Amino acid sequence: MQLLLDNLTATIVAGILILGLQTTQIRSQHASIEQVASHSVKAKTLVFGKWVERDILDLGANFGSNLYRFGEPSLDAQGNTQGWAFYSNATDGDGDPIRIMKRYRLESAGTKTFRDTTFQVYRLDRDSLVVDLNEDGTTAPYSESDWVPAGQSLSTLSFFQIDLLDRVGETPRDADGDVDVYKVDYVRVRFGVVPEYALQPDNYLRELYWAKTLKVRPYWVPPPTLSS
Amino acid sequence: MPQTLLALLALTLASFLALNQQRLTLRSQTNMVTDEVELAAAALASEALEFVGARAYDELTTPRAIYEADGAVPASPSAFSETADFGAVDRGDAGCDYLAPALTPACDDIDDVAALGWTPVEVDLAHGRALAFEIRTDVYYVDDTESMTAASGKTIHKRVVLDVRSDHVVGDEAEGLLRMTRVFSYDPVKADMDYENDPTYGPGGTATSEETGTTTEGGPDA
Repeated sequence: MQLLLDNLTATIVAGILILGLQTTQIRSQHASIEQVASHSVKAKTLVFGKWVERDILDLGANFGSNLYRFGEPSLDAQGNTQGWAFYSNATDGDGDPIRIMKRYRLESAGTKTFRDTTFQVYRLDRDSLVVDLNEDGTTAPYSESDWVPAGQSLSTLSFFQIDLLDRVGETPRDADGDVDVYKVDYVRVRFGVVPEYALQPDNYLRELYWAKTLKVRPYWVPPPTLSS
Repeated sequence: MPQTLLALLALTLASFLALNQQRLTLRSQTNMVTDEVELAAAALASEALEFVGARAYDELTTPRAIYEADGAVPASPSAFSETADFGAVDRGDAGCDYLAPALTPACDDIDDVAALGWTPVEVDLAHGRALAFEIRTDVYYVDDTESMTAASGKTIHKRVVLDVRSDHVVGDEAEGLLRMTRVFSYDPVKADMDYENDPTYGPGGTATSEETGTTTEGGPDA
């Protein structure tokens, strides 16, 4: 104690220095972790966006004219797309025609809190199903248990929306108010992603946004009046 | 006295260290925010560009123009708009909505977005939050799909240049945060399809009594 009092100035200076350096060290560490987390979430967002894009570009492959190749998305209370199925045709190893069905299912994955906002986060599960096609073009019977898991997204989606749009950006609907899948020109996918790790005191990066609008028309040539 | 001087020196060095660290942290934060905004801007630009291309190629190829021409679809670019008539001439007072073209029906062909100044657009995030951007566009004829220079006359290719900027990024006020460009080519089949599917001017639309073609079943079980 006597030693500290004898060197009071040095003690105070040393204390301030240690405090300052420690703060600097903590901030530096925080920035490094944040950068890694940020890079990770951006990479995963882009990869996820890419495979959704690939799925949409592939939908309807080998289909005939004037056949719709996706269903109407189902929505949850927040307006997220809870489920969506889409189809394409191919041939199996023996050269027989098959229908490939894929579907997205949005599953809740808990909550994440960043400063003042608590996000409900989701994970998108992707299932696929291969069914034989009969000679008349109908599918062989199948059941719910035939669907097999075929990938999933990261578990920090803050929202996920699929919109079926016509060329003026509106959802075409029939007289009953259902989506008229025959008149859909574009499929728009939008989603947000929050970081996987909540840092203290806070994350700089709050939510990444990604959207892709892809044209799924034309799937009839020539125009309708010339086809039957 | 030497002890005090040494202490002062130590404090000065520590201050420099802290200041530098602070600067690095700030830069890192700015980069991350810019990154976040850039990703959203790229997504927005791609979406806006898609809906610019969804419009008719020219004022003469809109469903209304084809309806008024008794269903005749223009086959050559000679009848298309002059470059001087691009933009405000026929896009209406409401301007152009980049993400919901239905809200600005007069902005119905690609060149209507020519020389359109910075226009506010928002992308929706979770919790009702939104990220604000501004978009501007320009359109000109090009000789081929790879050309970046304006063609001397009317052609079947139009290049659309779209810039996006954001208030969250400093330094992009004049040129924008990112630029995206794409060539849209005239397709008579698309023009015909858009006309035939149009709920007002198409053959089965409210402006006529003719019946349109039929579709057949598809989906999972067909």
